[in-house]
Amino acid sequence: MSDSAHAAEAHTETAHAVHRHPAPTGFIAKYVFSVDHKVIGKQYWFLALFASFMGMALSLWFRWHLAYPEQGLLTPEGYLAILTMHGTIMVFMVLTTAPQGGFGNYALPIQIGAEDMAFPRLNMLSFWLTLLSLIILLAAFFVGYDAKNWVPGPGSGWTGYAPLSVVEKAQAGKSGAWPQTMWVLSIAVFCLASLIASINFIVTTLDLRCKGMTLMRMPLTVWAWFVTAIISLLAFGVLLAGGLLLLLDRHLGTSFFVPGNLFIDNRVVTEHTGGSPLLWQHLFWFFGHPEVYIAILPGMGLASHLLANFARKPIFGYAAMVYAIFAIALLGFFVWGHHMFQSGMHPMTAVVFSVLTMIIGVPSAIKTFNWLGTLWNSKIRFDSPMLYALGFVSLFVTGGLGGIFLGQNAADVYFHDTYFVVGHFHMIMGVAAIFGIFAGSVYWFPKMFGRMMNERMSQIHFFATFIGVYLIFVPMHFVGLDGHPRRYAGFEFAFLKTPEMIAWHKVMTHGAIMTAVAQLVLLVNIFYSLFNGPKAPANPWEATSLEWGIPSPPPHDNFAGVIPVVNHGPYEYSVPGAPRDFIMQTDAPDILRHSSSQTAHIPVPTNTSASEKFPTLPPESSSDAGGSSGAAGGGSAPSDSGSTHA
Amino acid sequence: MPDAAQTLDAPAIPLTYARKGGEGGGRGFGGGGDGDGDAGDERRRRNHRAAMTAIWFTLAPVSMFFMAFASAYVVRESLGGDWQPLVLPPLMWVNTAILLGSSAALELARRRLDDAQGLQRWLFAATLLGVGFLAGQTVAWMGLAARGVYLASNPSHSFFYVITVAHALHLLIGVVALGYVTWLGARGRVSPARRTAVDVTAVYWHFMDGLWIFLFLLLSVWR
Amino acid sequence: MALLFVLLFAAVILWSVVPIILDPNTILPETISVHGHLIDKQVVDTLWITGVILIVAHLGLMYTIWKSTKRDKAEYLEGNNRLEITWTVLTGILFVALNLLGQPVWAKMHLEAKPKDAIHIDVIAKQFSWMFHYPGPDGKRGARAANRINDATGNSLGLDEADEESWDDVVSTSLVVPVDTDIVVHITSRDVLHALACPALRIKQDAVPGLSVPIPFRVVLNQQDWQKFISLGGSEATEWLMKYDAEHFQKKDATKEESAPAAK
Repeated sequence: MSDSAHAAEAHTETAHAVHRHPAPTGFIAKYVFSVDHKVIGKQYWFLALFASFMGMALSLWFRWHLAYPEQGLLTPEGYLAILTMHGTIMVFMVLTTAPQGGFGNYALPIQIGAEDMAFPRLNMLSFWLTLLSLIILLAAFFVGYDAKNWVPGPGSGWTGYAPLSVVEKAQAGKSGAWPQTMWVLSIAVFCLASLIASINFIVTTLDLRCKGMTLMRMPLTVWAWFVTAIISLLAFGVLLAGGLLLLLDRHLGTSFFVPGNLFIDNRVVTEHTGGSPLLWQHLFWFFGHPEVYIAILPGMGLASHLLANFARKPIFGYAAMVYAIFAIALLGFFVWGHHMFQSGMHPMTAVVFSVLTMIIGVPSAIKTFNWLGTLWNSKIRFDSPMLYALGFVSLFVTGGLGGIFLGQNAADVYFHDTYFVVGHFHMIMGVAAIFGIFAGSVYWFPKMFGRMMNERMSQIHFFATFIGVYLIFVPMHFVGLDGHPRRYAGFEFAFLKTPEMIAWHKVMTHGAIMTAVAQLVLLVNIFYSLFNGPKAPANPWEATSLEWGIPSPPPHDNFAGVIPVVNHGPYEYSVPGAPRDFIMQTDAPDILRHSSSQTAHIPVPTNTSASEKFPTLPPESSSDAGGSSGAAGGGSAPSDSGSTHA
Repeated sequence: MPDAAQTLDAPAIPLTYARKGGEGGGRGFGGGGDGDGDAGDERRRRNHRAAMTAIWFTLAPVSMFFMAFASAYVVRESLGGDWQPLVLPPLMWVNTAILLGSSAALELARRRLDDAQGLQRWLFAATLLGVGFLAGQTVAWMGLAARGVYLASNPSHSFFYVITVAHALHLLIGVVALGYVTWLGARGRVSPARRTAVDVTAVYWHFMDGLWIFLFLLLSVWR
Repeated sequence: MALLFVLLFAAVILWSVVPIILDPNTILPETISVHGHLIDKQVVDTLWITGVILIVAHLGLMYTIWKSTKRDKAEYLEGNNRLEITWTVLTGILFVALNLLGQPVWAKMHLEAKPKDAIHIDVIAKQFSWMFHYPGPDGKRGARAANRINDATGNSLGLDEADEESWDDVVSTSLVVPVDTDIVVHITSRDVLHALACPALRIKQDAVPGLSVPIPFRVVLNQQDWQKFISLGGSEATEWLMKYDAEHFQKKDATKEESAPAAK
């Protein structure tokens, strides 16, 4: 035992020599300007948490207005402004930051056995740029006024279509050019942040994997984050370019997107000639469609991860899942035109985009089939992360099916710009992706904060939210099928005012209120558990990936100076002949030969100091630490046993 | 549902771990030895590789950024109507030559990593030529402005300024990097073993060079 | 918990499917255009296919979840390549075939030559109303120019008083068209982007300044609610259209409120 203690000490020294940044001591360095990927991941997560509640509050505001327009809660300008802010906050600050910036940052380095991201300082920079972007965006709330009224934001929608987003007088906030300008600036800063972050993700995944972590042994979460980073890398540059052109059109009188001879605010607009509004749409959607996959791919990766984990089965068709992720990413860059079928784009182009769009449905279907295959003949454990993962599958199917309508140029003749579109994309890239975020939050909370969340509250939250979102978004498809156009501040037109449709709008609004109340349960659960939750064991879910082999929360450099060696694939659950129903990726390669008789001989640990110095191993768990050194036996250090096997 | 107790009961199985920096660590880098020096060497190799991966991947969004401008340029030009073709000032040919010279100088420097004097000389030359290109571009812009070619005077002018200025800003980052490498070289901190900074800068700089040729051709041929 | 999930997914199926079956007319209101029926067919086909997928997927979830409670241990199953290839190919064929079924109606609306002898109507969007520019008896629409626009004097389109072709033009704020006649609407905007929404006509088209998008259509009505015109309300256009094709129509009332195009 003294031998192993000595060895552990040696490791700690090596670690300090190798780890690029020592553990910080002061509060500021530790929690604010931190370069630790775990802290940055949490920062992203809290940022997204804040933004999601902002976005939700805004949606309640206009949702109430749509059900009870006679109360005059919003002017038409105010409605569009709130709509724009809701969309922009949700898409950029929640759907893009939480799954990738939050969980990706937190878990990716650990899952591949790295002690941090490849460029910790750039990582910190990308978070702070994201925060700056959020602040600029929120400031857009307060700077818009028309003659006498406050206009709470730009009115262009999150897609910022020109000329509305360019010609200042076209918007109601006539004296205030600022909201729209700040919107563009915010997005430009966000682009920079995302580009820096995605380079970091890619390099980390390619170069920092530990020994034995081959590409095809990476958890599907890692694949999803990696591919998402590649998509971000290619998409955000284009949005940045488009945003800069928009800004030039808006303030320096160029004519990229604005045609001549517009008649706005009682005069002919003379500053612009001959530009093309469709050009902006092409640039925007070249980013905008891949953005959908930026939001949903991490959720798909996590759903796969959790279904295997809690079904206690290997993921069905691991390789097919990986190829499907790549197929989605690749095809995702060739379908942007399906947002523009009725935009005035050449109708033949629409045919091509339409066929490609249907083809991208295939990899999504493959994923669904494989999820069902994973659940087949499984032994499901209904822990809270699994609830959200199952909810994700349902939402993904229901939401995805709307795409089969919208992807057809012919059917889109009817559905374009209706509530059907709103229902579809909320279901899939909104709610499904957010269920991915819920799942990730509940799943990694014990690892991130060292405490368990309250299961009962999570269950209540899950069921209330799941029912709530179905109450909102399925009727939204129905009113879309009835032809309700989106982005109308009120339904003053006779054909929209059938009693059935008014009733559906009220159902949606009340569903939204129910959903919002359910989120308070989540909030309470989070903050209660942060301080009062039971202490989390290292591996509460009996999962296989690397983050569950280290204490909760992990030490500053993740593996306490000892980097793991991976011997197994990521989803080795219920392997016949194995001593327990999961084989961790770091388990010995000959674990199947480690009969239970041998493990039974492992001495109960007495040397607590060894486990303290060797916090790589689960603390419950000193049992494991002692166990491994004991099993390795013969005076060889636990770490050496690894390299011997490897 | 598994709880802590259940996890405790799970049979303990030896986990395998490798040591850092020594045998079998990382992705199989480095031979034996436990010394700090080896760990440092391995770290340097890892950092070098990470930096090279990063810079190559950085070229992707930069390319997409300029491809967005380029495709917008082609589309906008085809709309016709208000488009007046812009004849590029001849000075830009000179600038192009200067930039090519800068790349060549940097490459010569990279072949002299073990010759401190030569290295320093060529790095300095590369930086100077880079600054020369930026100065040349500025003169070209000023000349055009004097002829009444402004950002908003015509869409072709808008694109010309947007593309060339965006390229110049990217190049400015490269010049700063070159300056930094030159400074490193002057302090004797560039050698065959410590070449990350110069290699990264070279990839970026040569790319900017190639990008300029593409943009220059686009602007002068596709009018 | 498994039972809860089975109930939950059963509720999802019912909630998503039953309202459509119970109330198909409200969900997809009656169409009055020829191509509208083709689009409806495509939509209904797609509704069937997606409905089946939704039900089968959720039944699959319910079944696997329920069955898992009967097991002691999960089966170790890593996948099945033949199965993967099968469902990849099958879904691919299904989706693409479905798409191709819809191409004829798209071609009819956008790719084929516009019908001869059609009435051409310009549709101009502005903040916040629509204007419909009819050619009048001479069949020609006068030129419009932004610098002649004057909302105060009622010249919201910028017509030229000196232009003979515009003298008999009719400008309306509602769309009134004769039945059984080929119409081509040319959709454009004078300020920002708008979207023309005529659910009953199955027409949805962005109005883009500087771009005029032609959409052909023809209104048909069944015998019971035979009507002369489809319109949002009375207008000058009604009067002109009565003259335009007087012998074709016998009655003068024209008030089935169908489509309310409006600015986005």
